[in-house]
Amino acid sequence: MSRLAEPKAAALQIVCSLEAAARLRHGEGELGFDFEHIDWSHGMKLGDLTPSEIYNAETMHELASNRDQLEYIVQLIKALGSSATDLLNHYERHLDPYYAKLSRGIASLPDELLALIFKYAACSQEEGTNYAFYLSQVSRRFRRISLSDKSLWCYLFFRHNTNLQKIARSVDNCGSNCDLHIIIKDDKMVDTHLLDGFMEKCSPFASRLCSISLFGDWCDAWEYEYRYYTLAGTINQLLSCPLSMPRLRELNLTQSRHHDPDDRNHINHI
Amino acid sequence: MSTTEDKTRKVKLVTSDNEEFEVDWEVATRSVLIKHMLEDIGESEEQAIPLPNVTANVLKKVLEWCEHHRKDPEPAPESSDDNRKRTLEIGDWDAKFIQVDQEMLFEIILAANYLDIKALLDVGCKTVANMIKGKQPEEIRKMFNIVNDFTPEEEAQIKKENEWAEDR
Repeated sequence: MSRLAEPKAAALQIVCSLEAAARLRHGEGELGFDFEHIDWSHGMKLGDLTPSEIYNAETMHELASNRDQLEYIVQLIKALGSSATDLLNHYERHLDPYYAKLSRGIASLPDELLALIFKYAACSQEEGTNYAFYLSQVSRRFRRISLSDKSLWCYLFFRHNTNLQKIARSVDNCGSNCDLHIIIKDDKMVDTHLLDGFMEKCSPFASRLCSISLFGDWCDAWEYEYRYYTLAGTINQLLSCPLSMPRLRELNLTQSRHHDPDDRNHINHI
Repeated sequence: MSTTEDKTRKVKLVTSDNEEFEVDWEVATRSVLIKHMLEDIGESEEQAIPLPNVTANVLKKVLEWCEHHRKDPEPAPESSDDNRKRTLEIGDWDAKFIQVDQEMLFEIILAANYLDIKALLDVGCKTVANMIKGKQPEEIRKMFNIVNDFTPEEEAQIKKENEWAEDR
């Protein structure tokens, strides 16, 4: 039997119980759910009646009918309660071992171990804080732990269409003095003309920038008169930004396309 | 510093479910906790080390890892908290070793943490990190059966954050 088959069978039991309840017979006839307001209004008058009162045939008929319907409701509720209890027990038998296993699963890890896992999982040179955002959106516990680790938020990822609100949120999550790192990587290559814009976006927190990583697709030559997208051109463009970056100690330039191995095709940590 | 005598010495470990394991000193002392306990009890070879937080089936698995890594050098102390220096790579043997069900995986992580076996703890944490890395929140919830317990206000904030994520 499959994992879900037993609860399904139990659910079917409830439906069967409801059908059985609907077929319950009292006395001579089968009772339905066709209660009329008028029947209950008679019932409401029951308190006004005294045992010594002599009922006429019509009142007697209505009161007896109400009594039968109430008895039917009691039996129906009993049948429902019994079926629901059976189903509940069934679910508990089925789920308890599973919950017990889960309680020994990720939920059983203390915060410091979950935080360590987050450090590994959110670490991505190419995705910046995207993965940290994912982790912070799983549950309240995940959110609390991910927001409390400032190091998850200090790598800021820029593309030409980067939402500055998101960058600002990441910077907020880093606290007021944490070192920051920026990663600039566009779909194909970073247009050097956009570098000014990127750096301008960084101006509010430039003094906290510790590293800049740039993924590009530079042409072979270090410097070439008619080709602007050279390493020399990129570096000149970066250096020309009028930002004060006293903490900057690392500039990573990574060639995104593979060229001939003899060429200057992968330059790191210049 | 271990001596030649230490290396031939046997160590008795007793699990929470009262099972006794006798292992080489070199294997047992991959655990810093056990190493310190052995230092505390001195030369008393008969004295078993109680491990009340580890069951036999988990300790068996942990000892399998310790046996394989018995000759590994002591792990270097953390030199940097730089996230980018963290790698998710796991050695081939470790990757095969850690192919266990979720329940055992978390048991191994908890045991490695308790026994203070940093390299094994890293293998476990990296394995879980590899499972969740790059996954959307809903995928992570499904993978680990985590309940989404955010309030409507928090959900609204998250929805806003997801709008920001459209620049991917």
